[in-house]
Amino acid sequence: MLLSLRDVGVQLGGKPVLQAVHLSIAEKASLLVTGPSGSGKTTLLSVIAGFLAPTRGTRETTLTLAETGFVFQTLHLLPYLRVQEQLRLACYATQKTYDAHWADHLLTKLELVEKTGAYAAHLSTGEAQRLAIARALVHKPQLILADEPTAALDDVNCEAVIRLLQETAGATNAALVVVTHDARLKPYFSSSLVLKEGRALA
Amino acid sequence: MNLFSLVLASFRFRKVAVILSVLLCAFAVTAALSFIQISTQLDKRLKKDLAGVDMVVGAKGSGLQLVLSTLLQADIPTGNMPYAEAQKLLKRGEIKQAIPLALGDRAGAYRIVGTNPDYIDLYKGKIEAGAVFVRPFEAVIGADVERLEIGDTFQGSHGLGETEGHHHHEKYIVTGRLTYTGTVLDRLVLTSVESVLEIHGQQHHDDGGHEEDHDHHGPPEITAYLVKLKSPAMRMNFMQYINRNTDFQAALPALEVLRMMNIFGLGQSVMLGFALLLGALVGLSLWAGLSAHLQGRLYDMALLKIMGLPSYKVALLPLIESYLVGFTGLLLGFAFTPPLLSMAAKQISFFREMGLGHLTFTFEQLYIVALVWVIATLAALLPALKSHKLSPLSGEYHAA
Ligand SMILES: Nc1ncnc2c1ncn2[C@@H]1O[C@H](COP(=O)(O)OP(=O)(O)OP(=O)(O)O)[C@@H](O)[C@H]1O
Ligand SMILES: [Mg+2]
Repeated sequence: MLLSLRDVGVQLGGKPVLQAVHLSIAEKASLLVTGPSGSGKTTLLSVIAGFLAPTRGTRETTLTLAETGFVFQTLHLLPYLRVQEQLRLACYATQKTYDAHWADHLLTKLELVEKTGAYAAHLSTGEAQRLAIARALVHKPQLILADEPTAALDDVNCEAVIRLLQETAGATNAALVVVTHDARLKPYFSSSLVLKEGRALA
Repeated sequence: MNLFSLVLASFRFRKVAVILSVLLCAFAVTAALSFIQISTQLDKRLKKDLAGVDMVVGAKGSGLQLVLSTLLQADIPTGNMPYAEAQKLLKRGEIKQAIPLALGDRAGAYRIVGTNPDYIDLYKGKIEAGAVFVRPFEAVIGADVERLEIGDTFQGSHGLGETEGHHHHEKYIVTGRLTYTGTVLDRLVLTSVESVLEIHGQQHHDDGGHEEDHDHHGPPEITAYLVKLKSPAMRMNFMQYINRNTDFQAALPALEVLRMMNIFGLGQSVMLGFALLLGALVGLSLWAGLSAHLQGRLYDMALLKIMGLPSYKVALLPLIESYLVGFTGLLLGFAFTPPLLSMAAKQISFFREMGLGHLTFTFEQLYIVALVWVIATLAALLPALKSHKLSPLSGEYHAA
């Protein structure tokens, strides 16, 4: 087991945001988390990643932050870094060596090759979203966590992105958790978890 | 990619703001360095120029003017004394040594001083090349005197003001050059008293009309004597004696200079206050340039932290940034100061005469280095500490 949450609850601003969530993520697992806006999806993903401590319950894992790849819903790119520098920074921060072939592969698949030298600040919303995905994968993490990775993408790019996430997870033996309210993603996943008002329904 | 290149990349993205911060710091450092240079150099120079002279005896008038004109070679003399009467006074037992000064002429920008070789010894000057003046109209030049070489001849011109007076007919010849002393000697042309007396005592002019204020026909006159007493304790009594019982004036250099400092409001506490003000300027300019920006870097630091970068490296980020801005400003400040001082020396004769045209190392400069270091560290410390508290597990980033 890569990671397990037992009876996890989170309170934010005095209000329960997650309640009694049980969740296990095995190696190479693939999981879709859906639910309406405000149901606690981002909160759950943050607890899984390890940068939000649960108010109650336990989180057990051997993973470190450096072995996790996170696609933020709000992207969090550094505006002053060029596309390739964002990828190099991710490898520096996670203390992994930068694999130029792998980076080129990701940029090609995400149709960002022509933008290698562009500043993040000058990318379109969709390009920025694809860059955020490349950054989450470049250091070959064991757990890929993606928060609404297709929100800004058209159907063609949407399919390309979800396939890339799954292929990458397969190629690097990583587990994949995708959070979305994008109905287009449902067919790509066999198992899914539905959140409603902070509780897991299925 | 590392912390350093990350910082440089962020600088690259907001060049103008960074350059402004660095320049602001550099200008503040320049101001502080110039102040230190001027005040310490002035102090040193005054001490050197006044050293070894207990008393100046000259014509009646302002004591400060007498001291300034004879010891610092600034300002015009109070007048002249009849040579014969002055000689009588010098026979008094209190006097150990009296160096004569005959002023009034100059060679280009440099004052000609009629004196004897004791004057050179007073400032520990040595003959670097050639020989000291012996016969009339032989001259020795100070180390900073330009455009004259040994063997050159030149004519003196009358008057110490900025405008040229009439030229004397007699030609001086340069027989020697002095070593650099860091004193008033460096910018003087020295000759025997007799040379100056001879010019002024005998000269007749065809175009006498506008020169009548200078008496060229009376008995020989001398400007002043730099007097060393047998015991410094005699200063007060002997000064009073001269001032009351003779037609001459005696002035104590140390006292007059202190009086001058007070006239200009340059007392110790004022100087200290000004130094503190400049220190605050350096500190504030650096702080303003850094702190606003570093606060904005908290976002980057939080991101790096949840990407997995170890906390201590995250905390180094604002420090690197701070030191880069602070020390670049400091270096530029050190680089700007010498050209600024030499420019000032070209424009302002006082700077030139006081030897203020260049930057010399002084201990006080280390205060500025330390100040920049402390401010840069303090400005970085706040965000660094915040980032340390910002644990990936605290939820603070999620909340942001
Ligand atoms: N720092 C916070 N303080 C107080 N309440 C918060 C905080 N962060 C989130 N919440 C609340 O917790 C709830 C769940 O938020 P979360 O971001 O997990 O929702 P979500 O399912 O990701 O929604 P969306 O689909 O819109 O992204 C929301 O009601 C939100 O207002
Ligand atoms: Mg969300």
